[in-house]
Amino acid sequence: MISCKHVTKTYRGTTALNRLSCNIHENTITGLIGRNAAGKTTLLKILTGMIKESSGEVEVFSKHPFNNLFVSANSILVDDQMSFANSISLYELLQQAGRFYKNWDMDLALRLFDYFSFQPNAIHEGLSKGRKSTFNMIIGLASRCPLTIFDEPTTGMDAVVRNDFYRALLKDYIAHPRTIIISSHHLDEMEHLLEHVLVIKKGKELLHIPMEDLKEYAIGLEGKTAVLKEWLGDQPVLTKRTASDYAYIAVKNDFDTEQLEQVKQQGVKVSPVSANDVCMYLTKGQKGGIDDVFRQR
Amino acid sequence: MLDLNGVTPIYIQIAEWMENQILNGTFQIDEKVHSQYTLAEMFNINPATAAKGLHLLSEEEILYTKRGLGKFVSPLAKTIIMEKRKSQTLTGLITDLVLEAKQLQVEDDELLEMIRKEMKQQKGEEI
Amino acid sequence: MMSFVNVSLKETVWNQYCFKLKSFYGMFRSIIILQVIAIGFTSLAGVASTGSGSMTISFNVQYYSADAVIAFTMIGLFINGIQMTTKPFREDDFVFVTNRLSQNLSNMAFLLTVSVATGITALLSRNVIEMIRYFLPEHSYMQDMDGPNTWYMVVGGGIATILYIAACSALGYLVGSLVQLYKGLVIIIPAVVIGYSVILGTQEGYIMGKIWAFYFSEHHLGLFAVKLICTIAICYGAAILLLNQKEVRNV
Repeated sequence: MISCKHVTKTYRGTTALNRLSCNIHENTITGLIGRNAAGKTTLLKILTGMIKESSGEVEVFSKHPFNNLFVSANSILVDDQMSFANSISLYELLQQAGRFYKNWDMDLALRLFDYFSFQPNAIHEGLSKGRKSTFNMIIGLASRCPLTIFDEPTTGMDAVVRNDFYRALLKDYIAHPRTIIISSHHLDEMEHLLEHVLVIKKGKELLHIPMEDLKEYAIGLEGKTAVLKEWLGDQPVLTKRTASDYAYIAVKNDFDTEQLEQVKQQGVKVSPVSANDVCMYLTKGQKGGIDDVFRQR
Repeated sequence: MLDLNGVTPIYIQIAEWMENQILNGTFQIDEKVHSQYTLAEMFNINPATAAKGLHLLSEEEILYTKRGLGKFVSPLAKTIIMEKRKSQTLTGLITDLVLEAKQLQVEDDELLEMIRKEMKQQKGEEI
Repeated sequence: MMSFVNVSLKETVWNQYCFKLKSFYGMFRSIIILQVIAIGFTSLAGVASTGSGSMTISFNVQYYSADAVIAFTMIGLFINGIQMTTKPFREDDFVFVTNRLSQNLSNMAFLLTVSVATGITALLSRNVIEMIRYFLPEHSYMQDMDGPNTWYMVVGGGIATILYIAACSALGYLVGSLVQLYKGLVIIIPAVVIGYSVILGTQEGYIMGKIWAFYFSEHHLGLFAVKLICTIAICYGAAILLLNQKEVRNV
């Protein structure tokens, strides 16, 4: 469905994507997770043909997406930069969207439009940030594109609308399976929807695994620093918080049940690490943690 | 309901939920259970996750598949579930219980007494 | 499973064209406002010049007034042409199905439509000016005005006017496209044009004179039309080539 091979994108000297490779399967929901400036938006814009990769190979529906009418007709990128003509009303925008997208479901669009109480003759520019996001989301769902991409779709939405959005997305996906990519900082609020997670950092893919595996990717160990140190040896540590001789350490879960039983016997508390935390630990910078900033100079 | 942000993976929670439904008789032997899509809608989760939960139960032979029709409760479902829970869940709980008791320096006899007391209480409630 | 959709270029261009007619009607409006202003100016200017009282002069004024509306329209369309290439206009297309070619073709079709429509209103404005004059005092000589009086002149003049206007919008579109690619041109182009006319204009600049003669001194209507249509085609063709690799939403 989507394949990227060593895709690089540079903007005037800064590298947004750095030899990123990934494959996204048909009819799955993938979460694209990364910090600000990790290259999420750049990747999504390349996939929908808005911008062109500097090098590498990109294929969407076995076609090169840039400037490709077929890819454009079968994909949609929903983000807060969507520029809708301001001289026509929201209702007319829905009608126009229906002309362009062949799978468009006007009935769904109008039901959502009504549910979120939009004024048919309002103008897109006059909407607040959250309302814009909500309207864009309606366009994204109703267009029923085989590849539907949401880039930070919940920006500015309140908690109720966010929930409604995720629910609407899931229901429509179940009724009309398609390939969906959602990028967000908030993995915790959408993780139940996702089948796969693609974590990127500094323009490079870091992890691309099923959501359920991500939840079991790491474990947290809490106990005496000395015990932990001896037991872990020089295993790479995802995160570490210490208080006197006590420590909490998150590490990649490469242990079998027996080993975990052993460490439990030594008074170490073993806990799962949430997917959100795993992503946070994986994508944080090289400069230690925020604690280091406050450390005694 | 499920605990979406909890520690247990969702597909395992789905499997457990389905097991509970079978144990309490919501789904009878040879009855068709919910599809992955129904489960996904019910619990607001990705259908693939629901499918994984169902698959787990198929592997344990709690469910069987009729091609093109869906998954059904196998005749031995209840027995398998109970056996499994005894060997896995209960053992796990006991391990945790004993560990916790050790940390709190509860003597063995005291712990056993506590268990007996709890059993008596619950039996009392049932009557 | 979501079925794939195949769209043709023609269909997409048509959809975009219809979309533009709906959403960019502001462009029509701004041109019409320009024309109304031009009509106002020329009507008043005509009144002012009646002081001389000579038939010849009033004829010249009338001749000039027809041009004023057209000149305003040409400037307006030139600016619209540039506007069409700017970011907000470019990105409007990219929320829906598009590629660069379909976008440029639909822009072209839209600008041509605006050119034809405003060309016709510009031509009709002549009658409006006459009417206004009619109701102004001391206008009696107006009755003998020499307007285009044969069908050939009416149609030929109309076609010529529309072609001039369309050429201006095409030129604007090309200039806009160049500026989109090389921002520096936003200063360089006006500097060169103004500099050239200031320095060389007074000396009857050789190239300028040639260009002027090429476009404005052609007496054969057919040849004239060919010249302008080629110019328009070259401008749009160049713009399409220039913009074909342009990225959008590339912040």
